Formats: sequence, C-alpha cells, structure tokens
Amino acid sequence: MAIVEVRDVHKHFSQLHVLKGISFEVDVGETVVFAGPSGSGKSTLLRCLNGLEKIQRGSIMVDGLPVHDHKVDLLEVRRRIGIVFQQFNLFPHLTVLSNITLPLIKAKGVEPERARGLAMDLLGKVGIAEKAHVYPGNLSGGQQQRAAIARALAMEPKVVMFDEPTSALDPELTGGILEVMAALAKEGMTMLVVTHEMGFARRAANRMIFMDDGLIVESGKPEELIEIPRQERTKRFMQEIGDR
Amino acid sequence: MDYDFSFNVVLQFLPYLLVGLRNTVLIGLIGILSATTFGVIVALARVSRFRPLSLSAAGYVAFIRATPLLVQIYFLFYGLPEFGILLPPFVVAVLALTLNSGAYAGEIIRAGIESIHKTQYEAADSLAMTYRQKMTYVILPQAFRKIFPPLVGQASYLVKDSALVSVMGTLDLTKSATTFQAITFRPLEAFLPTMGLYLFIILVLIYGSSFLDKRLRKW
Amino acid sequence: MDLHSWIRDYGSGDAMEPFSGDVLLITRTLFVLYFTKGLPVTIYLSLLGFITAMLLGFVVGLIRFLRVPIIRDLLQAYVDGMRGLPFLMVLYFLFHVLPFFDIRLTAFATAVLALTLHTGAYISEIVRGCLLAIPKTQHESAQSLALNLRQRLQYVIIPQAVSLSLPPLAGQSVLHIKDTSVVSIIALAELTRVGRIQMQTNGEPLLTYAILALFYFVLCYPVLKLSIGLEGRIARKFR
Repeated sequence: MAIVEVRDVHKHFSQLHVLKGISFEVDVGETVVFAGPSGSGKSTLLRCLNGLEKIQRGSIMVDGLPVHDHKVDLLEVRRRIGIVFQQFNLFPHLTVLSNITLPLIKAKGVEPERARGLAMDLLGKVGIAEKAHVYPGNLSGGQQQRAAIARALAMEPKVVMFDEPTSALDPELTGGILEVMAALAKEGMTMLVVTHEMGFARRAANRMIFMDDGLIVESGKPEELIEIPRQERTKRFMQEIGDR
Repeated sequence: MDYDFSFNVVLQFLPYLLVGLRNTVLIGLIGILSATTFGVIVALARVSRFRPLSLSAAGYVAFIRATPLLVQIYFLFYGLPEFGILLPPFVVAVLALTLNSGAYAGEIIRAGIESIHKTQYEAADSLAMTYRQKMTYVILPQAFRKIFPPLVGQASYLVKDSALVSVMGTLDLTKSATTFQAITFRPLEAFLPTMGLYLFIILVLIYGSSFLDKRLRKW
Repeated sequence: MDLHSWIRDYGSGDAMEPFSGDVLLITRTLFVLYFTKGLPVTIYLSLLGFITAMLLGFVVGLIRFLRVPIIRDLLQAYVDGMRGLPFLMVLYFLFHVLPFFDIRLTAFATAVLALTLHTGAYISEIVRGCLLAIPKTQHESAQSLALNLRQRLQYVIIPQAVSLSLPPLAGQSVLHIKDTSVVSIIALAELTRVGRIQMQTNGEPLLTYAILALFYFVLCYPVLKLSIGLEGRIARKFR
C-alpha cells in the first residue's frame, strides 16, 4: 500500500527546470534513500512533498491527501509527513523541550501535560533527555539534530523525510545520528532520506533512487546501485563518492 | 471641509519658495561638505592614541548625540554674541549643522576606519609611510568606499535637520512656507509644495544611499 | 579686574560680561523651573508619544511585512512621507491645516499626534526590518510542523524579532526625546520652551541653555548607553 505517490512532477524555479518528470511510490514501512549530485533536485523534491515548494505539473499524494490541491488542508498534510532539515532549524528562543511541545500543543491540540510526557519520552529515545531545558544555542550539532528528529517524531507522522541530516555535522557526530535513523527504520517508520552516506543506505534502506539533473536515473536495492549500477551516470557518481 | 485650494496662490508663493529652496540647497551643500570635513577630524581624534584627545572627542560626540539640535542651535545663536562673536544667521545655521552632523559623520567614518584590517596599517608602515601618507593614501580611501552609503544617509538627515534653522529667521524652505502662511493664512498652498520639495530631496538621498550600498557591495 | 574685586563685587548686580546679575540665583531658578515645569511635560510627551508610536509602528510594520496588497502601498507612502520630511514640517502642517478641517486640537494633542505619526513610521521600519531578518528556515520549520500563519508569527517569528528590535528601538527613543524639543515652537511648555522664555527674562543665554542641555543629557545619555549595550548583547546572542 503506497503511502507516498509521486506522478510526473515538474518544478521550475523561474527559468530553471529543476524537476523534469519525477514518478515513484513509497510503501508503508519502506526506507528510501535518494542519492545524486548537488543540484539534481533531491532536496527540492522532498520540499515539494510537504508543500514547502509548489509544483507546476504532476501530482503528489501523501497518505491519501493530494498535497498540491488547493482544496486540501495543508496543515493536515504536514501533520502526517514530517521533515528533518540539514541545518536542524530549531527555534533558538525556546528550550529543547518547548521546541517539541509547541507544535504538539498548538498544531495537534495535545494537552500540555501529555505533550511534555511525550516529548520527554522521545528525547530519551534519541538520547538527550538531560538536555530538555537547554537552549539550542548551547548544544552541539549532533545534539541539535537529535532534538530536531525528536521534534519531527513527536507529531507522530506517517512519513518522515530527512534532508541531508548529517551534512552539517562534524564527522564524529554523524555516526550517532545515523544510528538513530537506522533504529527508526527498523521500527517500521516510513522514511525518505536524502544523503551521501552509502553505509547507511546499505544497512538501513530498502531502496535507493539515484537522481541526476532533475530526473530519476536508476532505482533499486542499495547494494545493487552502489556495486553494480546499470547506468553510466550512476556508476560515475558512485565512483566519485567512493573516492572521498 | 472649508478650504478653497487655489493655484493662483501657489504662483504667488513661488518667489518665496524659490528663495527658500535656494537657501536650503546652499545650506545643505555647504553643510554636507563642512560636516564631512569636520567628521574626518572627529574620527581621527576618536581613534587617536593620545588619550586626552580621544576622550574629549568621545565626550563631544556623546554631548551632540544626547542633546537636541534645537538646543544646540539656540545655544550658538544666542550664546555666541555673549562672547562678542556676531555672525549672520546663515553662518550660524551652517555652523550648528556642521557641529551636529559632523559628530554623527565622525562616528560613521570612525567605524569605517576601524573596519580596515590591521594588516593594511602594517603594510603601509613597512613601506615607510608617515602617518599622514598612510591615512591619506591607504586607510582613508578604503574607509571612504565602505562608508559612502551611510554618509549619504547622513546627508539626508542634515537636510532634514536644516529645517530647524528657520527658528533663527534664516529664510530657508521651511521659513518661506511659514512666512507665507502667516501672511496669507493659506497653509495648504504654502506647505504642500514645500513638503513636496523636501520629500524629493530627502528621499532621493535616502534611496540613493541604499542603492549605493547595494552597488558598492558588489564592487 | 583682579580676583579680589571680583569676589567683592560678586552678587552686587553690576554688569560683568559675560555674566551679569546673580548667577547663583538664576541657576537655582532655572533648575527649579526646568525640573517642575519643563521636565514633567517633556517626559510625559516622550513616554506617551513613544508608546502610541510603538503601537502604530508595530501594526504598520507587521502589515507591511505581511505584504497585504493595496494597504501595503498606502502604508509605504505614509512611511516614506514621514522619513522624507523634517519633523518641524509635519508639526507645522498638522498645527495649521487641521483647523481648516474643523479639527481643533490643543497644542499638546497636536504635538502627541505629530510625534506619534513621525516616530511611528520609523518604528514600523524597525519592526519590518526585524521581522524580515528572521531566516526563512524558521518559517519553513514552523510550517513543516503544521503551525498556521498566526501561530507561526505568534510563537516563532515575533518573539525572535522582538529581541532583535530592542537596540534600534532604544536608539529611536533617544531621537524621539530630542524631537520633543521641537514642539516648543508651537508654544508648548516643555523643557526647551521654558528655557527660551527664561532666557528672554534673565538675559543669560549661555547659562540657560547650558543647563537645558544638561537636563536633556541626563535624560538621553543613559538611554543612549542602553541602546549601545543592548546592541552588543543581542549581537552576541545571535552568533
């Protein structure tokens, strides 16, 4: 049962044609990794899925809701699909705990007491329970990203997207985040992940989609794309990544 | 509303308006030039390593910033004669604006000078330049490029502030409007053209400054 | 004139340039008058005018930030008008034109109105600037967490913009206090006007205006220092 359906999506940034006809489906519980060179449109694609960016052609369905239909309640879509950004994007004027409880209380209507309980549980799950009353400015990158993940998960979304979650982190902190993500995948969360971390793709992803220049070039099992890519472009990209 | 706006009256106002405009423009131009010059002096005094000089300059700037221009104008206009210094109002006007705007300009220039990296000073020193040569050929030109936009902004403040010199009887744009209004009791015919002229001059300076800011950034 | 004669003649009322008359008495009178007649009015004008200007400026700034069509252009014209005109002209205009429209305000009310409109325009620029300064990513985070526009503004954007706006607002309040001196021209009895009248009666412009300047300095300098201090603190917080 497909929880995300993307059909022939085109997106332009004024003259620039960024997405040139993307189609794919994601089933419940699947973890899909999107790989590709910069500018291939991966991040833009994720941002179209929750309505942060508009599309000019095609359709996107998330949990049965047509995201770009003007009649649909975008807030409802966003309750069902969450996103973790590369730059964490925590609210600097709120504590970690408030970062999580604010959307719970205001966007989901959860009572403050219950919200706090849920938030603390999640913070424990991602490993930073003791930082609940700290401000984001006083946390390391890795801790901030964990907080961001907890914040996205608190909304109990059906799908979580990760837009290069470890790219802004120092190498030694990357592993921790990937572990959290891998554990999440194992629990059966539907995840769409844009990343360069091929190790994670191998370990935790069911499928990998390679994009280049606004199009899907190849898709299949992660090991296949990494080891024995069928397309020339995929091969070149994997070699470049491998060389790093 | 009981008002009969008449273009005839505007035409009657025109001669006053032109005299006022000429004076305001004159005061503005002379004021900007002398305020900038004075500002350089203030800035150099502020960054000087001679403590008494930098402290006095700091005190001066603080005084200017913390007291209203009108009070400064009254102080000069009524106070100078007490020392036997009798100047025509036009000169007092330019003096007051110079002393006032010069302090603000000095702060802007100082920020520009301080933003020049120490390495420039070191390079100039190693090339055996005297203090004067260093400042004139290396530091100040670079500083000026950075601070030109905010200085243009300061010029707009000077023109705006120049309206206050009307209290001394200087026949500037504001005074011509209020005089005409006092004679004919037709405020709209007097004030509207006057305000239009002020808007034109000041907005050109303000928007010019942000335009320059963007253009020079790319440089 | 030697020191001995000066001390002997001091306070005798003989004209001695540049100080004539009893300096101490005049000084004391000035201090008392400034303190009791001028200062309260200046403070009242400053506070009242600034508070109303903040209300106006906040609303105008927010509407301009939200790019509400048509209204935004009208408000832009208003702000440009206030920024492009000397405050004295705004004051004169209101003072002389309003009666023709059957609006008769006291000098005090006219002054408050002029101050509110003028300072309000500058505050709206500050508010708009601070709202724009909040990075787009904060908006995106909030949107992605299903917060609607009002919630986004109320809980995420505006709180951050407020701390950003404190230094420039403090700076603007100093300018505002100084603008109150201009209303002396429409015969409102605040500090500067008291000074002017006193100078005409006691004939000591230097002394009168020096003390006047002192009063303004004591009023404005702390706020000025505060604004500079805040600037440093906020800059460090938003590293």
